[in-house]
Amino acid sequence: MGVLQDFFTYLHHLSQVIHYALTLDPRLYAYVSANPSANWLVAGVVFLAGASTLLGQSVVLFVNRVRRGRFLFSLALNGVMYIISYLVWGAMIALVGRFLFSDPPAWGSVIRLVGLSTAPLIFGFFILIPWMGPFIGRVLNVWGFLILLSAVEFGFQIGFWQALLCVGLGWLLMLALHRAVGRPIVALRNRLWRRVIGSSLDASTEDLLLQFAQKGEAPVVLQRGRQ
Amino acid sequence: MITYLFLGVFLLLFVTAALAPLESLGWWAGWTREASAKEARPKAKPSVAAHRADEPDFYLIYLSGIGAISGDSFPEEEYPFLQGLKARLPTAKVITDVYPYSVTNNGLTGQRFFAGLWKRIEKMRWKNPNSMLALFVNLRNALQMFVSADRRYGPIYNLGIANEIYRVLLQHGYRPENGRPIVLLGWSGGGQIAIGAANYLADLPSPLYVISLGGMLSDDPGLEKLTHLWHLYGVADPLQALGAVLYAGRWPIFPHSPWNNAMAEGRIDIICLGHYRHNNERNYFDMKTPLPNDARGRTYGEKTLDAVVHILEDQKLIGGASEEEEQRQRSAAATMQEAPPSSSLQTAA
Repeated sequence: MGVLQDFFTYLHHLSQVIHYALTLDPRLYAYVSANPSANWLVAGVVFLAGASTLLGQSVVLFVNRVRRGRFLFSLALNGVMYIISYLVWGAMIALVGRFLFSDPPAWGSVIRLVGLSTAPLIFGFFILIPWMGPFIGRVLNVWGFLILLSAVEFGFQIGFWQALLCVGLGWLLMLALHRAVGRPIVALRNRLWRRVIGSSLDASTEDLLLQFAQKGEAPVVLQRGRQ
Repeated sequence: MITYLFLGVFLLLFVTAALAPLESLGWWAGWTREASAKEARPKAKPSVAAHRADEPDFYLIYLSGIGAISGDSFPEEEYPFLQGLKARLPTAKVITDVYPYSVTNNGLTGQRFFAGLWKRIEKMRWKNPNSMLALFVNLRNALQMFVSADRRYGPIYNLGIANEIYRVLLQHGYRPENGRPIVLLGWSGGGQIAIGAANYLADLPSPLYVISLGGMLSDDPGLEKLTHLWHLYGVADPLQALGAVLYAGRWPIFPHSPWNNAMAEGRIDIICLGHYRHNNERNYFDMKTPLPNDARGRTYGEKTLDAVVHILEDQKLIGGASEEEEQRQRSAAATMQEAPPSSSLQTAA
């Protein structure tokens, strides 16, 4: 009973964190940066953002004819991957901040603040909407970027342009890291996706349909046309 | 309070729209009951006609607008037009039982979770064609039209529709080896779905023509493959004009889009019918309101019918019938009156 109550309390706090993050509320930044106990709340936000974003882009899962169980597993897996990538992303920004600004906050504090910037992506499943979905995706990304800037501003107690510089340099550092040691990690990630869904996440619908056309299970008109 | 209500409606609309692609995606992934019904369905048996040499001259498949509830339940106004079409095309097989808003040709009143609700709406619409509840049908089907036009989902959705069209063609005696021409006549949303399905149907050994009647057309990749598209529109129809606004591939700044390529290759004709509206009086099917200043005294619907027949004649799909033959066909239709026009079409660039 106590576990269940704790879970509902967690959900209640999570919804409040999401609400305040979406409105760029500095009171939330103060709470999150000062309390290591907020780790689980921020992890919850990032996990939901990752799962929802993949749901929004789930056409690749459907085209691969992923079964329901694996579909749900893929969403959860993407949530976990989001947590890992935002840990690295937060660490990069914290590293840049340490070089650029005096009196930087603790690493964990910066990482938690960066994690909050994923809050808008909780609406990532709206990317599913036909025609306007990709536009919604871009709006959510811009919204997340604005949260990131304001969180960095708050975390390092700096101005907008300094925050922009810090985030920009952090992004360049991520790119460099990706070039230097990222390839094996990306290969591992792709291998994982291939095991779970049957192809990499960036395969196009047309390519996948062509693959299926060569198998006997495709609809007749597709087999006939692509012979 | 009003703000929350507004927000709730807005959110409900968004969630409904987000769920729209799942029917076709679930079909492809084998998640839905319809999918299993489809697999269980016996392979299409060719009709008796298929075994004879007297296959029709061509096949015309009618894809209804977003008001359609199933393959045999269209808005009332479309029936006289379809009867007229069948009467005017005696050498063709006119097929009307494809429901273009379901990848499994499963109408809203078929085996569905909300079938009961759709049946009620259908009954209401028979009593009052302007019932507000009928708008739910339009909303649901409009979302499927957007699914067809979306590059992410279109390949799957249009494949399902093409597969159903092919299956129905076989049922009606189509024999691919004879290569009889196929004409898709799409009204409103059916126009978009016709060019989407063309992407797959064009691989059959038959010439493939699409006639769009006030269709909201995107820059669908299917345009690259079809033989010819005629888009008939009315100047008072803002819905069909939306296609040129909503889909960037139709803008002139993307000269290599499927739409602009097909335009450049002369495979699209855009034909203005006059002061037609998308709905209500003076629409494409209106068999009551006479055209102003029409020498033959035709109605709006009759002129639309004449325009479609004229296109088919122009493509030599139907022979030039004699006056007597035309007269006979018209009496059979009971709704038709006059000879097909040749000068009433204005072809724009």
